[in-house]
Amino acid sequence: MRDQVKVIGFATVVCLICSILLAVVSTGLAPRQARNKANDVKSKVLQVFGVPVTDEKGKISVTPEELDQMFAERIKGIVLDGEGNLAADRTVESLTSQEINARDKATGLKPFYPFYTYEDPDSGAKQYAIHVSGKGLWSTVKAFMALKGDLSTIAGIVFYEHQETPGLGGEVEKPFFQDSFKGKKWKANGEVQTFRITKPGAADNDHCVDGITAATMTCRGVESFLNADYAVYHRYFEQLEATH
Amino acid sequence: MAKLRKIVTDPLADNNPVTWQVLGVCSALAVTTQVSTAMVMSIALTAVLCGSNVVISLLRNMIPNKIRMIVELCVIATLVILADQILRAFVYDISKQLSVFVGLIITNCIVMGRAEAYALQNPPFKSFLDGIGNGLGYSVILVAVASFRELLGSGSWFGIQILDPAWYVGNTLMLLPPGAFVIIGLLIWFQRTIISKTLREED
Repeated sequence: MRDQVKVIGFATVVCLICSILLAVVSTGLAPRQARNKANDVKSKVLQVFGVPVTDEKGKISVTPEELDQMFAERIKGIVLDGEGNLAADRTVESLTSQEINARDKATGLKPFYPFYTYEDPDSGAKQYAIHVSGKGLWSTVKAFMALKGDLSTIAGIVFYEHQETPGLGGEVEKPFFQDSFKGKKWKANGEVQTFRITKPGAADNDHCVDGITAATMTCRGVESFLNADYAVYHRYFEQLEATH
Repeated sequence: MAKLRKIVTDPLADNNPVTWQVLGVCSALAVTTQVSTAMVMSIALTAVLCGSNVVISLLRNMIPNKIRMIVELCVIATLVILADQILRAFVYDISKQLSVFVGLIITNCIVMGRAEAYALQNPPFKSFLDGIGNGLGYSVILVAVASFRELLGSGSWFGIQILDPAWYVGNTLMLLPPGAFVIIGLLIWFQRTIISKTLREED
């Protein structure tokens, strides 16, 4: 009996100490972690618009203050819901990764879709960025895609997070693949086309890019979520056109 | 002194946790496609191993025998989560690369194995040295495997292109888990037949 009390007592003390320690550290570091995360997203958005904020290795090369300033000056973010309507009560900063990546099984829609507008400080030309993400082979692949003023021509894409096989599916983050999207179009004669990622070497028109050798499953996943996510944004684009 | 040194050097080759005891193979397969991630994983594991060995060694006379394993696991898990939180707050880039692997240190058999086999019977300083030794032993194998895989698979080492892609076609097998099995197997064979034999003859 005394033995059991001792065991329970010891276990309780160990658990208490561990949980208090973790709670203190996690609360203490939370603001720092949140800031890192927010900076990371900001740098990716700036990157997809072609603003140089990282060095060759992909590390952020500007200070957090510069990043905040650049972002505040040049970029405006709004939030859309799954219907493509403006969710006025939300800001892009408040969105969690869960809210912009988790797809509802039944509808295939995500809760929120962030939408960024970029104004070039010199020319005043506008570009737009949409957030696209979905299942690859092993993991959720996430990317920002920049669109030109016509909301159809792709200005760039940045795959910023994935856990695909390095050297195979992981090649999506390589410049050769990302660059191949530039200048491709979503629409032909005002109609949205199905964007395709073809077999390597088989891309033959404005609405497809070459896939990656030995990464068929990853490419299929990317193709499917690109189309699904663009469709939601397109509903919002239609509203925009209707009001203008 | 010689005895203390042996605690550190023994697991490097002759009693290596990966190739001799075949522990921690799961992560040796998962994070060895690039030398840089293997390196960071090795450092993280060594730190956690030293920490857990010291804490468990300090508690060794208090832990009730019946629940010793769950207490060990509790200590290890706490340390790993701490390490993960700190990485995320201070070196965000690296923590993003490692992602789930840091969490997986909790289940790394080496950490649990050393706690059970060594730290429960030995004083803190010796346990600390044992942690360093085994951590380094694990690191040596991880970096060796990663060097082969990155070089043969992507033609680079530490991210620096060494074999020109113009004439070298990367061997995809090396980037997939079976490639690691092959290399670890060869390393074990190499060690058991060649290195250990010469050591035994010297003795």
